[in-house]
Amino acid sequence: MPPFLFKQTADGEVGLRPREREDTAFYRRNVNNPDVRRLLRNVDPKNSHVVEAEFEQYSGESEDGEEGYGFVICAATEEADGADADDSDAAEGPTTPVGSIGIWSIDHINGTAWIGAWVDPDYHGRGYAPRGAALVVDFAFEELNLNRVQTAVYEPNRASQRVMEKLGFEHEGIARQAIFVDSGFVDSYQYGLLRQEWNGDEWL
Amino acid sequence: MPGPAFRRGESVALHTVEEEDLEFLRRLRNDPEIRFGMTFSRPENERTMTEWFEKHISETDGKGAQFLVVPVDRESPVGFVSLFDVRRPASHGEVAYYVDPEAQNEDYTTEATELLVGHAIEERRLHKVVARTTAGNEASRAVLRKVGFTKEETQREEKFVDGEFVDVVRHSILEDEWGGR
Repeated sequence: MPPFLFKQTADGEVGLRPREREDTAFYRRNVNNPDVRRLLRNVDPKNSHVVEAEFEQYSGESEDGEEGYGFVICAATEEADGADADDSDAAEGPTTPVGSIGIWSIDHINGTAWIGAWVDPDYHGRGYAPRGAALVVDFAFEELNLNRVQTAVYEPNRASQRVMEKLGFEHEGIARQAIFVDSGFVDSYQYGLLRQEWNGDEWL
Repeated sequence: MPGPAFRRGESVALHTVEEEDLEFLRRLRNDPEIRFGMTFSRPENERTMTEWFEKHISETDGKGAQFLVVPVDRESPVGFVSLFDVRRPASHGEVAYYVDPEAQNEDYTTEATELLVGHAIEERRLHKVVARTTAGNEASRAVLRKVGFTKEETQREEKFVDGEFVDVVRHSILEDEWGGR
């Protein structure tokens, strides 16, 4: 089954598609990568069984009534398909998986949700994090009719802090020493964005 | 083939354990050379290994973590390390390790154990890591000494191995004794 694009930027460079079971190898490779998992604060080895179980958990509404969605951030990259580069349908639009973004704990009464993302280290520094996040924020406000999107970023994770600030998220507060990472406690920063503040023109 | 590297050292890395690796582990766990050192007496067949894989390996419940040891210049595993019996709030856990007799290489075992102890202390905030060996297992005790463990106590005739009761030596390393590697 081919994956279907759910939403993309106006220039067709970056898109989101629903995460599928077939993405397990891509997720497994990244969530275990020391450079990715350190700042996600993932301390568990995650084999294929675990990654698939998480896939089940983040596909729509779970048994405990929790609503959340996982997306693969896809990009239109030239070098991506290598040998298939000449294949006419290989490079159409954003098809190369470059990262992941999720929206979860969707609360329709209060109009809130949490988001979180990572980008494959092979694709760092190309703006996929802010553009992927902009797509999911837009989905939250324009399609889910939420009022507030929030995220937590650990103090050493400067790259993600810059992404949140670029998108207009407000640094709302600090949960002091909330996280244990690399033998020490670090602060966790709370970021929030309201619908009335959202302007994603630069990123969408 | 093992999954991706989870924690990397200079000569070996710790990788996730995948279902395809059960055959390798089944061979090791039935090997008398390993069994006697590990004090395993249970014959392991495909069914028992699958059950173990589903119950213990594929759980992220914070009570432990299991990895394959893979040399950085190879794709196939040479051994296995496990952190188990994690207790809170005491914040200690036990480690065990075994390496394929065919690839028997003390440096691999030492670095794999260091990677696991580092993971336990630096990432999971354990205060103390314990390891137990049979009294006669000099190779294993040498690994523990190199990693920085200290002998803690002898448990007299604690195990029955290869026809006799043997002493077990409990070793441990504390958070502030761990320099990080």
